[in-house]
Amino acid sequence: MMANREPAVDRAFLKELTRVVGPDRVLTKLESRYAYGLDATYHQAAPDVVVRVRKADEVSRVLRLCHREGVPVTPRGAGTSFSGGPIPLAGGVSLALQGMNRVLEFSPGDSLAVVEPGVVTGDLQRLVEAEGWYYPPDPQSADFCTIGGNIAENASGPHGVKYGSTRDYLLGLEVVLPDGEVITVGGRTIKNVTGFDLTRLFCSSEGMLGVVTKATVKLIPRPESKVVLLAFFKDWAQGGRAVADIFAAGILPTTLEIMDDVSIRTVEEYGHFGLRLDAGAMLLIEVDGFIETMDRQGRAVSAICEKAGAMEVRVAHDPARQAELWKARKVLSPATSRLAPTRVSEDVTVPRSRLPELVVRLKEVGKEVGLPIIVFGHAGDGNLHPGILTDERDPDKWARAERAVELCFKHTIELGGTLSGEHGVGFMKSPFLPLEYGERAIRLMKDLKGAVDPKGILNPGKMFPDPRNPLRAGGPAAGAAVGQPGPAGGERHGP
Amino acid sequence: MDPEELERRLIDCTRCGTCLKDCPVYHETLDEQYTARARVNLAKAVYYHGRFELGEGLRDIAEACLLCRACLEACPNKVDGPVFARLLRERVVERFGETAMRRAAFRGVLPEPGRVGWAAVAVRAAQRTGLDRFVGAIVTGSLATGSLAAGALGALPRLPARPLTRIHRPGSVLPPADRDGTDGPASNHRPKARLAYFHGCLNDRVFPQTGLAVIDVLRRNGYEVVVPPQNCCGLPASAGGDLAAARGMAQANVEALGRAVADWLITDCASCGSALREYGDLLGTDEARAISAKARDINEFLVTEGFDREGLGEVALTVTYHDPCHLKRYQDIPAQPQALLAAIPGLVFKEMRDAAVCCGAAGSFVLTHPDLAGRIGARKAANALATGADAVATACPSCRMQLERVTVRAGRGLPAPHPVELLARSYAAGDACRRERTPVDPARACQARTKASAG
Repeated sequence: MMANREPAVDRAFLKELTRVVGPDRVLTKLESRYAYGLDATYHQAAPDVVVRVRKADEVSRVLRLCHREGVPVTPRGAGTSFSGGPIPLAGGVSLALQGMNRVLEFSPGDSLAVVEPGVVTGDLQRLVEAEGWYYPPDPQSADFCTIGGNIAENASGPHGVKYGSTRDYLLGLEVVLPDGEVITVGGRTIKNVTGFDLTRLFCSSEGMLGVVTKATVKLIPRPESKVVLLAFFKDWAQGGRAVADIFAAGILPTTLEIMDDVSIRTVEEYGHFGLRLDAGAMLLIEVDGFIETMDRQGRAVSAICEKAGAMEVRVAHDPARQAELWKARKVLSPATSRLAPTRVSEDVTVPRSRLPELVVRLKEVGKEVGLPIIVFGHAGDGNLHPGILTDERDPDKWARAERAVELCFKHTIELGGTLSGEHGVGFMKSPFLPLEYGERAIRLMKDLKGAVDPKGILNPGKMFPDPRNPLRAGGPAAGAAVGQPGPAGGERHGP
Repeated sequence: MDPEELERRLIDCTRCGTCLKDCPVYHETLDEQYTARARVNLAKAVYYHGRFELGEGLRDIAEACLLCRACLEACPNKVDGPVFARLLRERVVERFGETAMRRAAFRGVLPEPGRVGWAAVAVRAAQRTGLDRFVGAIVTGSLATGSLAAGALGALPRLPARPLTRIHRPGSVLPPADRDGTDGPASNHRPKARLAYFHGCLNDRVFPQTGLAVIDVLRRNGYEVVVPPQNCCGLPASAGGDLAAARGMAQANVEALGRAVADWLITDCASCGSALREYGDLLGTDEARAISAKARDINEFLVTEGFDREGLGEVALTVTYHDPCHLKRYQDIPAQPQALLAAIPGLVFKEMRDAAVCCGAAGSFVLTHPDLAGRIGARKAANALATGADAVATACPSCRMQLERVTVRAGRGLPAPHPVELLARSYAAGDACRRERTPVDPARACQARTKASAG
């Protein structure tokens, strides 16, 4: 039932793996491997063996072995990917890095920290914040995802509009190449223009070019204070105007989240936060800075929203009240997951000014395919999360959802946007890569991949259109051809 | 669980990974196979698709769960991880059978109070002759093979000479007592209510002092207490995947407790309490539902119904509190034990870090996974000791054994009394104080003094 695929490993190979990490950290039982074949998407493919590493040296020796034998290797952190990154499509080895979770150095003097890839992002954030420092990348899964995965996918979250994504905080990396060689790239300085920027190349390489075993990340001083606002608008046009005006007024918010009418209604039914049900759009705005500027910034943003036509603006200065305002956004994912058995969630991104237009088009797509689409996301950086409500057990509804995804991508590209703002390509978006990149650009990417990983052992089947992609086999129901499908478990995520 | 309900619950899991966040087992192992989402996914394969070829590997994954519900608390979609661990355990029992020791425990010993008694006598004899250390040394190596009874011998504290049911025989009816706990005029008063006390196995055979304190406190507060005949609540069996054995024990209790005709059913063991409250679902009968509806934990009962505060005297102890999973997350009783402690004059309450994280005992988990239970327990011990407290109160005898054991191992053994034991001690201190001095208003004088020292 592990498909028609031959196991990529034999007994002699397993024996050699055992010699590297010991028998306890080599998992071969099906029930154990099964757990390492899933992430936050609805697909699954069990690896042939799981190797739980603890040190860079082990990573190097495992990769050298796999390289020699031509065995596929899929690196894995906490498995919270929304693009299928850690799913071992070609079987082989699942390289589990959660055990490499030491913070090796925290240096306020150089405003940096050196961490292993298995460090949980939120743990690092709490550690440095206690000392007055700040590591901003904030994927919604920060409390359980790992830095290694963040680097591989170049993760970010609501604070991205002001603070950018993971790549903006990488100073240097130690990377094990597919043949087991260990290299270091970048360094410990804020400025560094020596050689190609390989640090950024490995960032968002989705585990296809190397395995990060150590990362030097940049820290910034922790902002002193913040103010949170919740503004209700008649429609997206008004909300969009407010977004544009905030920037035009010289204010750079840390967060600018937008929710549509369906999201507002669903969240209100779920948690009774006192949201305006007559609103067509809602903005959650957060601005940070010195305490003295909070009052002024709060008033300025409030005035801008009102001028744009806001029916109501709520301002919160004290932390308890701020948490309350945030709550409506935080429960969005569980609340909307009740709307349908499956929610296909995308993370398309357009230039900020095209956002209102994208929303109109997304709603039209919903009408065209006959499935409801809810829209929310990070308005500040043009990163939207359209949620297509469907039922993966129903072939017709599933086909329509796939059609909707395709149309979403088409409109996004037409508006000058990108397929993915923060989730990565994996195999969820790989069939659509040619929509965004020309043939020559894709060939260059493949050439890079080939130069670093000539045998193609690292995370095969991702990023580029590929016959191993379960999506091309016709959706989740047909995923069985690759490995275990994840039926009856809709992806209903939410950053 | 019926198929529709199961399917709905399986759909609720989106595999987002939030269940990794607070799972004590995941924190120790950092191994994805021991997570709620892994089990949900296996359950999906096993039950929903029916196309998964099971291996013995399932036993290990099913059993490496504390059933502590930390994952449920974290999950945005409220997926109950332990439900799936138990479901998989049922499947393991179905497919591969129970281990011999468990079978003996669930089918042979636990359903018969008499046999539990004989087992306790045997354990006590072994402890007195030092045989337990000898056996303990032998079984330390064989724990991995699942030698449950032998492991239990090593895990149990010294057993008392007289279990609770030798002091208060099954069927005893105890009238309300005077404020000083003695049979005085109050025993002729009409009781505020008739309460059936479910002591369970551990507070009968291992910690009878808890039962005595519960009875004492309830009687002082004007209640009539009945100690009905009873047997094991069945939780060890249902948690172990042997639903048939669990149902048998539950049914016997439903009948016995029903005959006690009480207004409420009082439990002082968090695990027993949670089991009793699940009888309705487990058996599906009106009688069982009636028992579940009547079951109330002693902490919650006293705080909700109120208790005499005037009679309390000083207990000069610094105390911290550990939340049993079966109290906080299974019975939704998160603050009442602490409220009892706070009411005791002279007692200084210090909250420990991660007070609600499982202690690692988790019933038989401590026997099947001694190493993991020890590591999880060591964190708990460190947090308890960091408060500088003299005692770490808790409302579950299984947690109590673990807490007393792990703090010894951490260098400073702390007693882990039930909050009601401290309350009873406070009443006794009040009695003593009133006997010593006989001022105009004795109760008030004792209170005033102790309040000052508590501040």
